Amino acid sequence: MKLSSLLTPERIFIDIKEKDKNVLLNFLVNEIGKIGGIDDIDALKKEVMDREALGNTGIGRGIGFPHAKSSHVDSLQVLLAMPAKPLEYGSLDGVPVNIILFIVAPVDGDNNEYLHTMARISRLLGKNNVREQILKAKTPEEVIDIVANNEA
Amino acid sequence: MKKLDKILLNLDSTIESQHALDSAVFLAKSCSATIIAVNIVNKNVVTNLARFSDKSIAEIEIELEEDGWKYLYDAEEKAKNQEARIVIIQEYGYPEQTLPKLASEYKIDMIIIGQNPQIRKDVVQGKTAEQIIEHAPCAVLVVN
Repeated sequence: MKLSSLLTPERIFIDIKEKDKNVLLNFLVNEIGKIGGIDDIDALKKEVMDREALGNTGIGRGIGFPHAKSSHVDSLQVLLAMPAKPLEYGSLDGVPVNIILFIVAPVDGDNNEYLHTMARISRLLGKNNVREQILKAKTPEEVIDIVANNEA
Repeated sequence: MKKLDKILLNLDSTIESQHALDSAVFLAKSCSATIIAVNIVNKNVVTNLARFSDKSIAEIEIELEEDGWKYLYDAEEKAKNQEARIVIIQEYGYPEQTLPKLASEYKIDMIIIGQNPQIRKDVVQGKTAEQIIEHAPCAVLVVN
C-alpha cells in the first residue's frame, strides 16, 4: 500500500505547538485513539515510550521516526507531525526534529506491510527536496499531494 | 581504551553480519553503549543486479530497501529482547565510504562489520573491510 493512501488528512498535523518530545508522542497516540482501532491507549503509550527508551528514533536530518509494534492496535497507522518550532529530540546528529513520522503496526499483522511502509518512509524522507516541500506545506492535503507525487 | 558509547553496526544479508550483530549486542550490554545499526543500500549491488535482471533500478532499490528494513527490524527485536539500546537507520551508497562518514558524523567509538573469511582480499568485496579500516576515524571490529 502506498504511503499517500495511509496518510489521510486526520493523520497529518502541521504547526504542532508541543515543545516536548514525549508530550508530542503522547499527543500522536491520543490522535490514533480518536481515529479508532486501539483497545488500550495507555498501554500503547507505554510501548512507544519503551521503544524510545531502548534507543532514540531521531534518525538525523531533522526526522523523527518513532515506531512500534503493538498488540493494542488493529491496523497499521501512520501519522505525520510537524512541530511549529524544531523539537529537541536527542537525534543521532543532534539536529532538532521538524518532521515526525509515527508508525504503529499490530503485532500479529502483516510484517511485510510494516517493513514496506518503513522502507517507503525512509526512501521518501531521505530526499532533501521532498523534506523541503513537506516543510513548506500549509495543509494536510498539500502534504498528501507531495507524498503522492514523490512516491515510486 | 576509550569508553564505548556508540557502536556503528553494518547490517546486511550475510551470516557474518548476524555474527557482528551478536557481538554488537554483547558489547552494547557490557558497556551500556548504543548500537547504531545501519543497512546500506549498496549502489554497486543495485547496478550489478540491474545488469542481470528485467527489473528497473527503482524496483531493485525498493526490494533492497525492504530487505534492509527486515534486517534492521530483526536486529531491533534481538537487541530489545536482550535489553541493549539500538537505533536503526538506512542509507544509500557504498559501505566503504558511508560507514567512515557516518562514524565521523555521529562520533562513533567503534564500527563493527561482518566479513566472510573465505573472500579473497584482492577482489572487490574483500577490499571493502580494508577500506573501512583505512578510512575509519575510530576502532573497527571485523567479525567472521
